[in-house]
Amino acid sequence: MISAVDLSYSYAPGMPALSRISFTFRAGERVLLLGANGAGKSTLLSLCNGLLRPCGGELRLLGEPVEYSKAGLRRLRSHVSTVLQDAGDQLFGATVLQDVAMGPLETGMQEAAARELAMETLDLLGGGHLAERPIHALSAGEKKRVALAGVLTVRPSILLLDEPSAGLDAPGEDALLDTLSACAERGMAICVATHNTWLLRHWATRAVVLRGGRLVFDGASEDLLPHWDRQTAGCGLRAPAEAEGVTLCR
Amino acid sequence: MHLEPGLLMLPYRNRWSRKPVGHKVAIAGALLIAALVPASPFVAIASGVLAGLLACWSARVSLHTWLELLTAPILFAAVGGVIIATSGSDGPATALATLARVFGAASATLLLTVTTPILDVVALVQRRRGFRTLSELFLLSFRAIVAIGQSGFAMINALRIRGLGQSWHTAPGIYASFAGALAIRSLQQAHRAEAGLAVRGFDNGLPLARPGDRL
Repeated sequence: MISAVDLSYSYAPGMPALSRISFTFRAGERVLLLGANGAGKSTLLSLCNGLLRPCGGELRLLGEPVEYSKAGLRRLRSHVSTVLQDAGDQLFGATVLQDVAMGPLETGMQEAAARELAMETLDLLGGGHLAERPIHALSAGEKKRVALAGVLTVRPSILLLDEPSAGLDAPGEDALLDTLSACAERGMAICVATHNTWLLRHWATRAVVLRGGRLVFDGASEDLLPHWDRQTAGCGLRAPAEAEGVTLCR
Repeated sequence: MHLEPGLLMLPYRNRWSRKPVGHKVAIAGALLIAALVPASPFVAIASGVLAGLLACWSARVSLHTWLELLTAPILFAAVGGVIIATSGSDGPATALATLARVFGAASATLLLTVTTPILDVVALVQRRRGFRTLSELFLLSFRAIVAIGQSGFAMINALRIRGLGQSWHTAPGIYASFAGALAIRSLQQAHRAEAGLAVRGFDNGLPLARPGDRL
């Protein structure tokens, strides 16, 4: 679906944020993008949704190189949707329903149909009761749910999420993971950037690990777990079993 | 205009970045005075051209970046210039003189902006005795602008990745919503800053200047 070939990016000359990263996200995959702070996770997401343009290498969508023209980026973003870490940044509507309906309206859908689709999506995420709530009155977890509803209404084939479980309580996190799993079952490729290695055991089918802007592991979750210490040495990540203990304590 | 991360790093990465801040302030200040004080607008134009030469030739800021940054203030002044030009007999001459002064003053200010991190200027002001209140107010305003700017950039990026506001029939509504959301987020950020000040022991009171205090 989307693939990177030797993708590199630097914010300033001589300070690479990402160096020669190659990967492919396929339909239905549940990918965990792991790495410490500053490892390059958010930069990689920003390259995948076209917010940043690579300094080297190539991003490919459905086998074709991504074009950074207005039309090219529109095509990329019709396939790739993102939920930002601070979900409040991506909510613009006066009310929840108005915000969630914005995406379908942008694609030319009639207002009544767009509102109906928005309501259906909110119900699916257990957020139907929020529909008439003003955005600024939502909690952090609710904002995250609404942001996810907003991107799901446009039926992306690839969904990128930056620290989606940050700020969510346990039921909220479970509900989010169930929704993401359901989306993956329908063929959506999902990539979650996080420090939360607990998800490796309980949700992800594949792991991509970054250290200092370099790819140090890309493979099935079950291949990473037995060799955790060797594969992730120096990555600043808590071992999944240890993370599980922290999660249970929480 | 899209602010690339590289553009935000420009003050840290140019050939003048290691020059003493005081020298840069003095050069930009002299050019600013030359643009605003002398009677002839030609001095202002010369001042603007000199600022551009210093930035592009000496500090090695790219000409494209320089012109891109200069466009907004010049266009802003040009809009006002149209009103001046159509109000009175010597309107066109006054409008052109105003535009020349804006060009000179904006170029002088921009020379300092692209070659010097703002915090270095704040540190310079803080080192001067008797300017403490002024520098605190300056820093507070700067933080407020940065906070609103960061919200704004994050939201503009979010508009892009959600693909909103791209067609002519949705754009007015989307950008109106964007402006409203930005205002609300700025207010929320101000409340958070207020709470942050409160938990650090500040009592919502700004230090006020008393009669006789030097600002």
